[in-house]
Amino acid sequence: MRELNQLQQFDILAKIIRKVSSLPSRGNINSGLKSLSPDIRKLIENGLEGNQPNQIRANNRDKIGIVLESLVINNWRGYLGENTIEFSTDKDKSVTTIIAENQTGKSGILEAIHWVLYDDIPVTASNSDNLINDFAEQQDSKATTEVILKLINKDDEKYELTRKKVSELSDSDIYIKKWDESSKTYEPHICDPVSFIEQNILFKNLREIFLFRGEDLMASFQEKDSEKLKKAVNNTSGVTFQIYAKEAIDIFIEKIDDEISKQNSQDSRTKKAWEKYEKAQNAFDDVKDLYDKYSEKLKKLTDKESKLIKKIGKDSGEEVKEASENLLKIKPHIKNKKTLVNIKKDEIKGLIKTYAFNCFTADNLNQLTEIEEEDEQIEDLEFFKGLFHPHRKTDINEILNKGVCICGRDLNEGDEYYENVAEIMREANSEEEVQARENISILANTNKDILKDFHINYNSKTSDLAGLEGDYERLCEQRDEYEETLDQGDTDDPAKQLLKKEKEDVQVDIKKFKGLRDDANIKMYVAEENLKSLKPKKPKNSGNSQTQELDEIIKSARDMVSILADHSNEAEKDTKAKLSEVLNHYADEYSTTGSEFKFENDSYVPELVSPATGIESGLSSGGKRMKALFFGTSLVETVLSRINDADVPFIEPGAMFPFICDAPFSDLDGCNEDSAAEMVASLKCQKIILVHPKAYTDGVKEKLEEMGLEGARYFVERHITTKAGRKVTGRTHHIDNDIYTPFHEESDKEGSTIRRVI
Amino acid sequence: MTLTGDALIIDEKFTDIRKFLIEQEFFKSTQNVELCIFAASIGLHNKNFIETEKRGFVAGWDVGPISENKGKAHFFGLKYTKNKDVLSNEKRCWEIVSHYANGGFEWLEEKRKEVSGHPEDFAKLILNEMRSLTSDMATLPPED
Repeated sequence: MRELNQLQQFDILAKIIRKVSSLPSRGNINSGLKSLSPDIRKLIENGLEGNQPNQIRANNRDKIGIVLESLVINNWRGYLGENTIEFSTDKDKSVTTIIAENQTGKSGILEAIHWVLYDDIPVTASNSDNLINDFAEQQDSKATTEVILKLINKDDEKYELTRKKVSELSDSDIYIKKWDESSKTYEPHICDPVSFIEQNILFKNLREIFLFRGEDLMASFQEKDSEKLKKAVNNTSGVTFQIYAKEAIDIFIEKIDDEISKQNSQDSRTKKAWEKYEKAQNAFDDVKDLYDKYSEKLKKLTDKESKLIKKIGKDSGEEVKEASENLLKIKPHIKNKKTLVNIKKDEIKGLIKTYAFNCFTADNLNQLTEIEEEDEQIEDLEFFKGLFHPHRKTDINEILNKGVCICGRDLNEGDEYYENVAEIMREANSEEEVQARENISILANTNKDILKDFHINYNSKTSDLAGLEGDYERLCEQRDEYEETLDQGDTDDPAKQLLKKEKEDVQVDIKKFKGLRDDANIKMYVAEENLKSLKPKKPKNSGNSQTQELDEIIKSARDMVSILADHSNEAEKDTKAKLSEVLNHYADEYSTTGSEFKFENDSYVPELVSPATGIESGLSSGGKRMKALFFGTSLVETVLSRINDADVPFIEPGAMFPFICDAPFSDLDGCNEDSAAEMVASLKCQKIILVHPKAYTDGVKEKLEEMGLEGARYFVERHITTKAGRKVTGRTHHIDNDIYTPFHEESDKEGSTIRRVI
Repeated sequence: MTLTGDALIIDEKFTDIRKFLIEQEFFKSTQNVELCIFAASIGLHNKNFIETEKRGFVAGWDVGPISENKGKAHFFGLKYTKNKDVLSNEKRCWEIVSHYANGGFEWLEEKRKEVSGHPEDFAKLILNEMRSLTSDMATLPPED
């Protein structure tokens, strides 16, 4: 394969994009190319203008990613009122520490950043549907929550992301603003927030790495979710660009191929076929849009239903509370069971396609085997019996033509011997006939076994189905019981009555949209099949200059696809190798157990193996946390290592974010607090460390002082209205000249606040 | 010799039952050959042979399943003509499949009417028929 340099690759991509914009079907293609981020487009344009690859590389590598300026949280989770954190943006003092005792809301900071970016909080976080501070809601039923994140990108552009939620049951709204130097204010930035965040701020696949909570990675290790980890690793390797570009080019090739076919379609019949195909394509797109719309609506409604159920159960009697919890637990089981029932029904229905021919023709096929087995004379089937003798028609024909029998006798037309051979000739079979007979014999001889398979399959599948349907019915009965308990509870409470009414309305809507979605699904299936059957065949190239030009571009695009595929594979391997190297460097440096990291074959799930046994034996919970911390920091280090690599043309936006570490430094095994702190603090990027005061004073503080990296320090303090007693009183910590009191009892408010100390 | 045009030509009056079988996901819309063989096996079983009068849906010679199912087409041809010469005439064999398929579609159409309003029962009805036709032919392991 021809090797292209980086510039040539960009050049081809640029040509493709330019060509695409002149095609009538550019709408579809452009939607595929949307996946390319503006930075990549910029690079392609650079290439087209004749810039050398080294000029492309000459980006400012000192500023490679996002820097967080500040976070404002208002009535967010456990935090009451407005609280602000100004992160340290000083490159030499790149660590912001947030010191928080357990139960004061340490994780809430990371969750706020997660929420503002992705409209959800990490999967392992608790109470995921309780985002508005409870005390604020008690004081004012119209209390809302808001998180504002200010950040600077590598081009020194400043953005303000604000996410707001007016009630627990409502959807959140996000506003993105960009700093305007002339007006000195943040002005609205028109964009699709989801793609903007994905392409410019942080890839969703990397959120568990940069918004680091040990639990999320531990869950991925536990579930051996190699695909998820692979996506994260690949997002750090530049492969994402190559995958997006490859997908865009694949769409381009398909569309341009259609364009060539259309241009070569001279006759009116083919032109009409194309018109019909395009009409079918539009019909399919319309029905797919409808299906997506209903699915999204349905998801929102079911989420709302869950929230209502939870709310009805909250603060109710034990029985109702339990019923609401059980109801929420049982619903996904019912959905799964229903899916399994439908799959089994489809499998049973599929038996018709597989076995109907053999069943309906069984009588007729059986007769054929009887002739073969018993040499029976069945008058009706003599025609088949005749086929037993595969005389070769051509050989006998030759004898007749030559006029000499194989015994040497002359054969003259009309005489007795000639007639005898001619008679044999009439009974003889051609090779085609013999082959056909053999095929039919195979059908007949295998039929009994196929029928046996059919009955065995039918019996086992129907018995499985009966079991699944039984389970499904039992679960539904259980659900009805829970719903009944929920409906009967607190009948006197008007607020609960309102919620129940709202839940019933939501359930009616769910039923309605389920029906609409299912209808759209059937229509989409039919439209898709119709589209496939209508696709006109590609005619031969007419050789005109326009199609020749398209052909050349398509050839370049195909080359590009294969180059990108090779590059992706290589980049994947390189990144995995680099990751392994960094992981083992960290293990050497910081692990006290002498273990080393290994990846099994294609897996991206790391194993921390003991040098003695060569296998990973059951890790303690501290060991698991340590493994997760090693993996997270190693992946960030892998991204950082690409910055100084001259062969890497650019760092993708979205692949470099500040490292926000909610690691429980105090619970690590085989690694001291100060070592873990050193590992995190040494990363050459902005760091925000959420740390328990004990771990901070036991080693983290000393290490940060030694490294001179701490640029800002905050205390998180919780106010509680009651006297909590021994559990919280007297827990004060002296940190430098400051006193950290995690809990303030008998306060007039309930909630956490944040205080800056340095 | 390369055959051109259509191998299978089904009567227009069976377009609706084809649509039903596709909507109910028994076959895909690209599986006309498989669908017709299914219907033809029913037509043969019921000895119902209906010549195509008005061209409805078709399958061309160039679709893959035509060559994959040549043996089945020969079987239908041989059963109908009772003459081995038909084995040298593939075009005639597929024509016979088409006509048996028309016969099968007629039966399927009747069955659809029987379960009108309950399309999910259609599969049960066909499967019961398949089982009752073959229960004495397959040697089955004893049931638990």
